[in-house]
Amino acid sequence: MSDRAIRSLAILGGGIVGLSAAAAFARALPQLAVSVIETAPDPAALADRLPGSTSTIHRFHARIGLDEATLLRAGAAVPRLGLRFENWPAGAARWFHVHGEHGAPAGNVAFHQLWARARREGRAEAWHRHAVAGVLAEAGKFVHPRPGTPFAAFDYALRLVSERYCAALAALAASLRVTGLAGAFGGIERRADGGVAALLLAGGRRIEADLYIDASGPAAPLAAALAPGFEDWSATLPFDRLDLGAAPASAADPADTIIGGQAGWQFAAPLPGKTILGRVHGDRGEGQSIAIRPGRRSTPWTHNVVALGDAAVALDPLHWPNLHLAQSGIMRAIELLPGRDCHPVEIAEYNRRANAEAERMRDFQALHYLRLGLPIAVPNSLARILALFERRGQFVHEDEDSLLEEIWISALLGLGVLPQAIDPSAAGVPAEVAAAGMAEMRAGLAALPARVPAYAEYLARCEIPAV
Amino acid sequence: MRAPLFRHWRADAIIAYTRARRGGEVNQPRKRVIIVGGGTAGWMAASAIAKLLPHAVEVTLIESAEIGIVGVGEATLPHLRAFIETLGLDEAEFMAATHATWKLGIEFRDFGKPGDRYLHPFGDFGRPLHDIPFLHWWLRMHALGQGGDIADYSVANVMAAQRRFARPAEDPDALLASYGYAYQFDATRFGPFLRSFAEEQGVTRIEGRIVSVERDGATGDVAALLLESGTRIEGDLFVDCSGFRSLLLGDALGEEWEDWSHWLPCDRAMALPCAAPPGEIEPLTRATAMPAGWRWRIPLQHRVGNGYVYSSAHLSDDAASAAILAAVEGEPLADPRVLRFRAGRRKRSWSHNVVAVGLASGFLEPLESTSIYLVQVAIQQLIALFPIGGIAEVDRDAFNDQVDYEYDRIRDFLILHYHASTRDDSEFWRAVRHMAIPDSLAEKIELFRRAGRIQRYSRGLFFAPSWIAVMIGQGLVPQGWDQRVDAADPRALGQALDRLRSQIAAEVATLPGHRAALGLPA
Repeated sequence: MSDRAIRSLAILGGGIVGLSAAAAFARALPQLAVSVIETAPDPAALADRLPGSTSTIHRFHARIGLDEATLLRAGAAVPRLGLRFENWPAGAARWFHVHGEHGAPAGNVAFHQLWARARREGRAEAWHRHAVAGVLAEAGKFVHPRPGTPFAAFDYALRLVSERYCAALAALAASLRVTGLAGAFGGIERRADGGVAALLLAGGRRIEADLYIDASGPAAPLAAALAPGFEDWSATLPFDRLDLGAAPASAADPADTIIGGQAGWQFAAPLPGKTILGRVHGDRGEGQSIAIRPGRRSTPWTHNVVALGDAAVALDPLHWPNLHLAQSGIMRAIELLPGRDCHPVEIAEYNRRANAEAERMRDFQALHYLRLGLPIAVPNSLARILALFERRGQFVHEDEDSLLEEIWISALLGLGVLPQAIDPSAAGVPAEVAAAGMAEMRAGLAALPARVPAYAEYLARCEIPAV
Repeated sequence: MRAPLFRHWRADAIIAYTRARRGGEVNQPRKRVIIVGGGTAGWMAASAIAKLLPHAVEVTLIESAEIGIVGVGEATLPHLRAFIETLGLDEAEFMAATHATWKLGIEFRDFGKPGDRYLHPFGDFGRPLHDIPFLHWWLRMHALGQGGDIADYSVANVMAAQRRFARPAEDPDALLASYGYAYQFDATRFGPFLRSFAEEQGVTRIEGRIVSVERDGATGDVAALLLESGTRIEGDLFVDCSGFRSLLLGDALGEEWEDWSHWLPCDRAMALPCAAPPGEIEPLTRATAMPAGWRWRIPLQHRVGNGYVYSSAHLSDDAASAAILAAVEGEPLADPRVLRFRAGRRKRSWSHNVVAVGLASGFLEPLESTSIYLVQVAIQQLIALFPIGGIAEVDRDAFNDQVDYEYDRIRDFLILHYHASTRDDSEFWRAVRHMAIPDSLAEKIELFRRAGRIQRYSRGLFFAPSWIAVMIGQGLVPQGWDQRVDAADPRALGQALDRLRSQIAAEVATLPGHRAALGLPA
């Protein structure tokens, strides 16, 4: 209905999140006038500068029309199979968190039930060794998934070279007639109903639009001017400092490395030309650290202003949730785009979904810190997940959780949350039968890495810069 | 697609699994499961628990021939198919034994206003285009006075209107795969059909009337049941399928009742089977609004089930009886029979070591054929959360959360049928259409009314097509739509919709009639 449609959109923030939003809105709504205010980058806008994404990035790229092969060949991204966890929990053997099927159900019995029983009896190898992506990651190998072959049932994510990825988004946005202008936030003019009538830039310039997006980072001056409420999660998520650095290119590796520690954790993400290193901790007083205030904006969408990325949810980089949540928010905002009046019922649905998704992500990270032995405040929602899984290996997937069940289960098992008992409905599969099936499966999976090239070699064959 | 490696392993494991069940491998002491009541709920629970947990249970079912069963749940939802399949029952045998017909949806007549009719189909409306739900494309054309009736884009609706039936196509991308089906059957025959299956699975049946319930002094759990004959039956887990009496959960444990009659005031049903009219059988259940409630019509192979669900505050039993006798189209096969109930549910369906299944846990009027579905949900959850060793609070809480999740959604959906109406022709309708509704429903309606948005669910009942069918069917047409569809050229869009409608009509026209599909003479 054109008389209620939003006609113009102004986005504060010209980083990855702002440009992703610009490209997505311009692609989905060709009649919409989209402008991006390229504010100075905020070093604390993690979604704009970290290399990590999740496997949902492919869907986002398909929506906005960003071709992955082109990105890879341009050296703007490399594929990533998963995360290698070391010393997490403390003293534990290294394990891999990868995307894709682990094992196969026996009839209606979930595979992890059978695996957990065998594991308790000391008869099962690590969980990730029952997944294609797991054996490939451990062997330093990679291929793109190939339907119809044993290399079908897994997924991968991308590691992004921020500057080049941002440039690719900028070029895409420009081709979609997004206009950009440099500027800094100077203030807002309110309408009588409380919404924003105009965005004022530092030089006095006035930008009018029907809808505004604040993608400028955690300070979120535009969103905060309307709704300053913030839900603080620092009791649950213990670390609030990030040191970022770059090292020379390291050996190409299909997995990122995560090293746990009581005082903080470190990561290494190898990219073409460099390796991004990071340390997440809680030490105050170090001049160079980026401050993170874990939590979420109470109402990410207020009147005609939507906060996206770090402006909406601030989390440390564990499992790379930052860009993932930003992309998810962009797609949700387009799917639920209200009329020009931004009726409270319509934006309430956006906020309901966004908050539920963010809280599940918080719980997912908190699970890791709990297993590291840190004294965190455990949210009730996480306590329920843990109680049910520890008792009998059951997991209930909640509406709006953007993490698949397999992602949760791999983390729970990888972190050593071993169900205490087999579920009665799974107990009918005799342990010996399950063990034999598992051995056969392991033998099949163990043979797979030999059939594909090493990660660097595969990328070279595809003319993808890897190192 | 799954790798061959895994397929191979899966097949092996299933064979081994089946063998192990036959062998009855025992890892820990079997739980003594006592099922109270031998109606549909009782025999469904006995069959499923004995079949799916053979190594873990000893199942006993107590029923009394003196106590009748309610047995009005003749209309089902597509989920019952999964139940039949999981148990390994033969669909043809089941249908023959229960004189079942196919069901493609529920037709509502006169709900929004007198003269209205629409089908709530088991299936989708159209197909999404560019990841945008079909509804939005249709809404845009509808605003231009084009696109026709949204029901024309539902394969199930077109098929039901022509009284045809075929099972959905196997190719998931085919148009003829965009629907599901359920059964309409003689509920008094379903229990006995399952009984023979359950007994084959080792379920022990005891005939007798329960006179008292013995509770453990320390824990408050139910320890044993005493029968009139003097027999004492001990158990570890008691499944209350005693119907409205709620013998264990309600009477013995005193679990609190949450009353919903202020939202759903119908509290009686007058049931009356009649002879089947000649001609083709409609593959649908019909609900027709009446002055003090509504009336069901469920065509089976051999007869038609009818009943008037009404509010006793607005209609006497005698008047209801006269109304249903006047309404049926065939010769009555019995005297009208009255059933009394109350909308609501027990606060917890699982308390101590008692799990209530079906009417013993709660009641929602059969407007959307949900009774047997709710039985099924409770059984599935009980099996999924079956006690390991002792009963844990975490299992019980998870069970009760799931049951609440289902009940609340169904409650809202039922209230919608009364609320979204402009009927002004009786005191009952004036009362229900103006009553206060739950906030959760008010939000759903407003969200839909503004731009056709529907809350997403990953579990349970009533996904987007159900809300679309009932809301649009009862006159709640969204004022706006997803703005992405505005970019489409209306002429091209109109042509695409026309093509889809023609394709559905052409494909449905090739399908057999309902009687032929059932193997009955024309």
